[in-house]
Amino acid sequence: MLVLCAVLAAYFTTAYTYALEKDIPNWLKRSPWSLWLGTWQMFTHIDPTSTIIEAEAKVDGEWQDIELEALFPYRWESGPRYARSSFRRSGSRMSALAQATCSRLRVREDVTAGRVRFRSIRWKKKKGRDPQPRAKAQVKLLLDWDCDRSVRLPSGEVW
Amino acid sequence: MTAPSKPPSAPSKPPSAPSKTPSGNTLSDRLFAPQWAGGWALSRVLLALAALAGHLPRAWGIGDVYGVQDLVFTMGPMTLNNHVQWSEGTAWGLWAAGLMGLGGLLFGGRAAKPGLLLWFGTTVLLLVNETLNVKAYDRLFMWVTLAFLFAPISERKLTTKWRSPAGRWVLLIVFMALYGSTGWLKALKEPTWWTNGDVLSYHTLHHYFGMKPVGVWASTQKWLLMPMCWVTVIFEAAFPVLVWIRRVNPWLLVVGALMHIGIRLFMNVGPFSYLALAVYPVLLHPEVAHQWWERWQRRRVR
Repeated sequence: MLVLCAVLAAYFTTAYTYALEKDIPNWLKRSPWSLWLGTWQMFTHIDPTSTIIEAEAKVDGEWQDIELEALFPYRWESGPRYARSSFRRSGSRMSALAQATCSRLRVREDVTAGRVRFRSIRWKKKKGRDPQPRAKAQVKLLLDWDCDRSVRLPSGEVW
Repeated sequence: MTAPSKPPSAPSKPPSAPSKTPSGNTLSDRLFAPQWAGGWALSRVLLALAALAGHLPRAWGIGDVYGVQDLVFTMGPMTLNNHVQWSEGTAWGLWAAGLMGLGGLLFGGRAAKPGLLLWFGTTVLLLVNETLNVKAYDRLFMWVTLAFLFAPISERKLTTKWRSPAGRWVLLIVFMALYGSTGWLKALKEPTWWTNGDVLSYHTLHHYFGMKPVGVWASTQKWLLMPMCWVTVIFEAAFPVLVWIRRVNPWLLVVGALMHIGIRLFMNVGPFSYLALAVYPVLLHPEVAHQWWERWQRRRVR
C-alpha cells in the first residue's frame, strides 16, 4: 500500500511539474498522453471569445442551413463534440463529420446533399448580456466537402 | 484489502474508544492504524449518486455517439475502434450493466465493490469508444474508484467501526494533486485570477457550460467575482498543506464545499461538483467526523 501511495504521489508530482514547465523533456514529447490522467487545468486560462460551428448543405443547387444539433443531438456540458477546438482544427475529424453529415441527411432526413460546408463563428463575449451580441463576429470557412468523397474511419469489427 | 490490520469479521472497536494509539511501532503501523470509518458509508452513497448523475444522461448519446459507426475516431492510446466498435444494442447493454453496477454500489454490502467495478468497466468501454470526450470528471472518477477499492465500503454499520485508512490516503493524494495543480496553475499562469476577475467572468459566459442567468448577472459584478477568484486560488493552492492540519481541515472543506456549490450554481459542469463533494466525508479528519457523528447521535437520542 505504501508503494502504491508513493507511486501515485510521484506520478502526480511529475504531471504537476511538467504542467507548470514550458520546456518538456523528450520522453514526454514522445508520449504526450502519459501524464494526461494526472493533469488538471480546469478553468485556468481566460477565454474571452465564443465559437460555434454552423453548417450548410447544397441541395438541388442551393445552399440550405443545416441544424447540426438535430443531426448530432448529443452534447456534453462543454458542447457538442464538433464544437471542441481540437476537433474543428483537425482536418481528418472535420472530414469525418462532413461524411457523417451527408450520410445522416440522406438516411435520417431523406435529403440528398451534393456538398456540405462548415464554418466557425467567433465573437467576443460581452459581460452581462444574454443573448450574447454577435456583432463583428468572425466567420471562417472550415471545410467544403463533396458528399461523393469518402474518408477512411477506424474499421473495427462491430459487436 | 479493506482492513489489513484485522479481518472484516473481527470485532470492531467500541465507538467510545477511537484509536489514537498506533497498533505497532513501524512507520507502516503508524500510517495504517485504523481510523473511524463512518465517512465511507456516506461517501459510498454520494459517489453512487454522483456517478448516476453522469451515467443517466449518456443514454441520450447512445443512438448518436456510443452505438454508431459513422463518426468514430482514435486518439492517442485510445485505439479500440480499430479493433472493435459497439453496435447500438451493445452500447445499450453496456449502459444498462453500468446502471446495474451503480445499483450495487448504492445497495452496499457485498454488492458495493463488484458494482463499482462493473460501472467503471462499462463506462470505460463507452468512453474509449467515443474517444474524444473523456472529461476531467471521468478521470477523477477513475482515481476515486481506485481509492474506493481500498475502502471498507463492503461492510455495513461503518459508523461503529475503525478500519485501515488506505483508501483515504489514496483519496488525499488524488485531491492534493487535483486542487494543488490547478490552484498553482491559476496562481502562476493566469494573472486575471488576481487582478480583475475577468477569467471567471468570461467562464460564466461560455456558450455551452455558462450562460446561466445568475452567471450572466455575476459576470459584471466585480465586487463578487474578485473575492470568489481569490478564495478559489488560495483554497486550491493551499489545500495540499492545510488538509493535514486537524483544526483547519473542517473549515477548509467548508470552503471547498462552498466553492463546488458555487461552481454548480454559476455553471453547468456536469457531475464534477457532485463527485468532489461526494468524497468530502472521507477527506474530513476522521476524529473530527467521529466527534460530529457522536454529537449528532446524542442529540437524536435526546
